[in-house]
Amino acid sequence: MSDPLEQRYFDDVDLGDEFEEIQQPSTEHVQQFLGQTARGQSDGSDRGAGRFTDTAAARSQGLERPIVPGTMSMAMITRLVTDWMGPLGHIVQLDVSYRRPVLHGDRLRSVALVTDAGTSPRVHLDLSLENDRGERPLQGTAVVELPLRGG
Amino acid sequence: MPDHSYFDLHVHSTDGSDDAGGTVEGYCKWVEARRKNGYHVDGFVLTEHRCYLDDADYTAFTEQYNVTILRGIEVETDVGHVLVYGVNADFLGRFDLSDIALPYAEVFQTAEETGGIAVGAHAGRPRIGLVEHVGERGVSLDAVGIIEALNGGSSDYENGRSFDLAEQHALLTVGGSDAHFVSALGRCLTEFDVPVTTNEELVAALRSGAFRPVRVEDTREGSERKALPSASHIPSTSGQGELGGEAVELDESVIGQEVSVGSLEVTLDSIANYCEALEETNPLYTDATWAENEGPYGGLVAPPGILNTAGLRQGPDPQIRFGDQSFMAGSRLETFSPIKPGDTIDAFTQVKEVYEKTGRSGRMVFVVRHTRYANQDGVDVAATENSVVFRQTKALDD
Repeated sequence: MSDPLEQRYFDDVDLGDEFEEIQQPSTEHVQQFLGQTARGQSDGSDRGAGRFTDTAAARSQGLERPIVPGTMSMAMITRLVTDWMGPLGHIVQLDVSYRRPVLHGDRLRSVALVTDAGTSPRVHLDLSLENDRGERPLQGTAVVELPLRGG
Repeated sequence: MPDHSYFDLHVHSTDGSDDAGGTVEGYCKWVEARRKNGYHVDGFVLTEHRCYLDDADYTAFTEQYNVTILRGIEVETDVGHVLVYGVNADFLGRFDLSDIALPYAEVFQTAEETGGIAVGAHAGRPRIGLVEHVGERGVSLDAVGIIEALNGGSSDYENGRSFDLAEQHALLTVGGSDAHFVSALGRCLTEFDVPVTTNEELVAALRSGAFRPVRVEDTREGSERKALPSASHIPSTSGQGELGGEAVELDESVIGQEVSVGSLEVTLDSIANYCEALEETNPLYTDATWAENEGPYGGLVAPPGILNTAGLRQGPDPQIRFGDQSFMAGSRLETFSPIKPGDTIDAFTQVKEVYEKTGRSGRMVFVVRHTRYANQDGVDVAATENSVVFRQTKALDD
């Protein structure tokens, strides 16, 4: 896990560098996240939003248990990047695809891989969330600006 | 293995596929990185979804990175997705590529007649691969000679089903990563017994039958090849619903109209609650003293993800009348300026586009909304693009 206090510099990043965090969103985490939205239970896709908190609603939609909203999964992968880049880093763009549901209690490995560090000061990352079932429910990319040492 | 060549036959890029995050140059750099690690990758084939990159010129990348970049296409047919190589104007003139249910036998035959060759993509995947259509509908494989059995985006079970089908019907098999992101390129490849440098040579090599699917680990000098999967040895984890067949109705008049959809008051409390839910510990967002003394903005700021908590109205509704379920399919966030406590962020949304395609769960309709976020000074601080997919999960009554 990256120390968010530690500043990352462009000079120290190489193609192929990999970093990761383990996260395990619980029902309480999801409720807290949803509690901040005015509608309380929506990720912007309106149908069947009960699947985020209610086991019966989730099962009626063919899901084993309630799922984590896509917006929260995106926030989790965003945290991986912000922790890694340090306070002076800047996320220029972050782009994710939701490929499979993230279930409450899933143990998730958030992984980022540097795919381009050639154009100063921008670093390109591939991002993914991997669960214990060997699936990648979320994949994406990010472009991050990092400071130069002495710059 | 000096005469052998290794190609990733299934790659999507931002130049032509809506769901891809990898750029063509990014893929070239990744090939370089793979080679430095001892892997052998000669090139890749861009097989964009429903789109053939006729005018794109990648000569500069080929020269700079010494990577062969060829072009094909991935079309959608009534028995799943099909990769076509050696595509030309004659082939393109015969089909409406936006059609997600092209007649598969005609695609395979036309590819052959027009100097190309077609391959059944990710054959073991539910709905969009051949296996299910052969098993459940008795679809004929008379026109099919090759399937993609080793696909980097499929599970071992799905790939196992593909190899089983190939064995039962004496089909040839290829490998492709189905890369949508840079680091996926080359996971699965096809080993040819001859060098390949052009689209014509690729077609000739595929017609020769002298090729086989390999994993990238297999391309290392002296590597020992792992056995290819068989479905009988692997448990399935996928359970998918039935495909609905109704026509998609929508209101296209709302596309492109930007409207105000609400605002987000950013407070110290809302930042603290957000950080607690995400177990965020970055002092830039959590420690006012540190942020004031050490941070780049002279004080605490909000994590960019806080925009995800804005309880906004949906905005213009294209009134999609399709499916019984909707999910978030993708999100893009661009940040321009820091969001600070005390800010009022106004949001403005428009429907950017509506389109459909097929996936593991069958037919899907996508609605893409673009939202612009401006602070109380009228400065755009961020923009998001969210894509929601509508799909049918329960069988429909006839």
